[in-house]
Amino acid sequence: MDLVMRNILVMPGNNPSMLLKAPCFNADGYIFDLEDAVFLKEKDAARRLVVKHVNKLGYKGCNICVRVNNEKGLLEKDIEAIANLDILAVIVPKCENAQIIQYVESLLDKYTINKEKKLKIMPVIESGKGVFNIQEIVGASQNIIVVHFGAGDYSSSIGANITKIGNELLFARSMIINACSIHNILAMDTPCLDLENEEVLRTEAENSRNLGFSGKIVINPRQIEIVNKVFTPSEKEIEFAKKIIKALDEASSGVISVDGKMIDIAITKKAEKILAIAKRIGVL
Amino acid sequence: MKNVLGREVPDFVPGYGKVTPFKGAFKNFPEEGKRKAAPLIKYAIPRYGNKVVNNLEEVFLKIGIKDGMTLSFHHHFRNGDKILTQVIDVAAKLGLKNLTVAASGIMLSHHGLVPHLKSGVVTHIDTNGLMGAVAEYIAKGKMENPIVIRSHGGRARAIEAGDLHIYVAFMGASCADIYGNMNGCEGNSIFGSIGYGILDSQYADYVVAVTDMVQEIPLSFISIPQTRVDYVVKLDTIGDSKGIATGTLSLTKDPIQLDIARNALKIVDALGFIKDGFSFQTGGGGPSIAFTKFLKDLVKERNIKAGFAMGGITATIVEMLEEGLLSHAYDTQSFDLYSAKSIRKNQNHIEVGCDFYASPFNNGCAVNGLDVCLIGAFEVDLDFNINCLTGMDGIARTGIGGNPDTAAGSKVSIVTANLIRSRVPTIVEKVHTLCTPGESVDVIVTDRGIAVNPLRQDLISTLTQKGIKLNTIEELKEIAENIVGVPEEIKTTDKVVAVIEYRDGTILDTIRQVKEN
Repeated sequence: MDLVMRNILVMPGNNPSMLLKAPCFNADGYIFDLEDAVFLKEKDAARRLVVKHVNKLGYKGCNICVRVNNEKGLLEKDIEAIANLDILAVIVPKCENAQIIQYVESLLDKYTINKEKKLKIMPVIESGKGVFNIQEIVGASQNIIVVHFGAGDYSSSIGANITKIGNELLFARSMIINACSIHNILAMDTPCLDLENEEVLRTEAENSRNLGFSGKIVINPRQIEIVNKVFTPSEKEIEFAKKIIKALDEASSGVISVDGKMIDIAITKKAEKILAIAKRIGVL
Repeated sequence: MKNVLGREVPDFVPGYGKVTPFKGAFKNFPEEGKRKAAPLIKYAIPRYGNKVVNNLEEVFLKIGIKDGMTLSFHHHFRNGDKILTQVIDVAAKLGLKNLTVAASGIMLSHHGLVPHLKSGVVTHIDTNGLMGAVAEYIAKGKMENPIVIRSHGGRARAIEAGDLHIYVAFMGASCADIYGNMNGCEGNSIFGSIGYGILDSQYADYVVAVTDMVQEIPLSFISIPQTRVDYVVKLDTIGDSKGIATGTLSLTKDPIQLDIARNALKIVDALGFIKDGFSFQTGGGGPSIAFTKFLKDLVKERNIKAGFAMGGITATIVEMLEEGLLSHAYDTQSFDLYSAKSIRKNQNHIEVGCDFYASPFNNGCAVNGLDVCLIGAFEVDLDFNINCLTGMDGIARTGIGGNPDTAAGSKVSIVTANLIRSRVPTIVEKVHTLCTPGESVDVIVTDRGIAVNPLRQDLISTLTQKGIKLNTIEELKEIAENIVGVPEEIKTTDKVVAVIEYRDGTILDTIRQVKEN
């Protein structure tokens, strides 16, 4: 998988000045949101604004994704409008089963002119049902590249209160990560809603990374730096990974050790992944 | 006639005089054998030390201020200043006319000056910059005579050369003693350095300490000494200390400005400046404050000690002093209360006047020793000329500060600016108002790319070798214009409302009256 997504920044699709600034934030990806950030009466205006901005500005190399509305009538209009834009993916919120992914696929097939440029899909899992069906959702299309977790709606759907420790979200997070790992796709964790306390963000991001998420959704550009730091392999990790690969290259037998640690296939794969990420984000 | 930058300047400007066009940053020299202007020699009888008078009116009468005289002020209270308008109110009450206000800055709080401009109490202004109601009044051509705008170093030069002769300097002080000694860092209304007033007090015919605190015991910390002071007047209010930091100094949360600051630091580091003894001036804008904070972290991380910082001093610079990360700071202006308080207690925090800071006509001013300066700009043109004064409507928004001084003196000058300001491109074909000549501007760091002046091939070569991606300034202009288009030209009449004097006394540009819709 070539894509590196340590963060993805949500930007309201009805805010032209924010959309204008997108390339300056150096995010790994951007969500131009037509869903929750936009009032119903502004949906059509936001849709047009996003299309015009993308067509006019290009956003080359910005990994633009558009979060559409998962509601009959709006979903079809949104996908028709964005299907031929030069962007990365369509984000489908409130995914609860494989059928919605298949329906989005069919809409993309219908509206995409150049089939080679068909948009990728990023489902958002944000309900108990979605978590329960995560395996069939991620298996529903080869086009899925990233799965997002939305904790707000999820906790509400299961009747949980969101706590600092986050025990109530652990099951859902683990389910999503597990499913994504099977299909070799990325998992993005829910955003941190505390915009003032950097330590809260850092701790949340570290927990996300430790669980296996490849990145975290951010809702304010100020969150990008900290999230990037957490999800960027450290110098120490890179050096260790390099040693492993070097030792592997030089090894005559199947068993090697580096710095006194036995290296097995799982560690080797992790090392390869770290070096691949480091290379793609330019720290190697 | 046109100066070397191609700007149309008149031969003669009413109220200013004969114009010498700008010839180049280091092409105009003092007349051979010319001596500095000298202040009046004074005489004081022993035991008659108390200089306190009851009110401003009494000051006017004792000195004998008359029509046509020049009164000077510093602007260390920034938007909290309450002295200038109180003094001119008194002048108006006494029926004076045709006065010149020579203020180091005209701030928002000086809106009360407008009625006095209308009535002819004040007919000339000599300043570093202006904003608010006064700026608007002038831009619309309502003053008969053009105002004169000089950089901090240029103002010092003009005072020393006698081009700007001050009759009375009304020097705001947070504390004064009955003998006339004063400072800005004790009392209830502290503002820190009186750097912009030091030259005024040395060359004015009369000097008045204007304060809200007078003590009988001589001050132990003296910024302007009694030897130069004629009168002390106590007013109920002189200024609001909170106004010092208006709109400039909290660390920005804007990720774009933070990114610009990080990139500027990356440039400075790539050029090899971050080492023991490094000297810098960063100023008080959003990216500048952030730059200083990041610089502090880097200096700490590398376990080195910077040499000196200068200009507007901020809390972060004071923290560097206190933590041993910086040897000393030369302070012409304290940008926040933290630095205003530091000047009294930290011997490495040194108050300096603008001759020491930036005057080009002496044996060497401090800007000449700068490694790097960060400067701001509203517009930069394809020749790297800077407009740091007038906004998109052609009206002055701030002062030119030490922009041309530090750009000329430092080894590398770096403009930090958003490429697009409220949907207007920063990079333009020709700046509306030319404040700093492009020959002394080296790098521009924006949120969408970095450009280096082609005159600095040495910098281009080093930065490219270090893997820093550079754009040409033409490319930056194109990026901006692709997004927001080309703005409409500001429509002006032929009337000159201001002349922009370079630090050496030549004329860089003029500002014309904006046409009202």
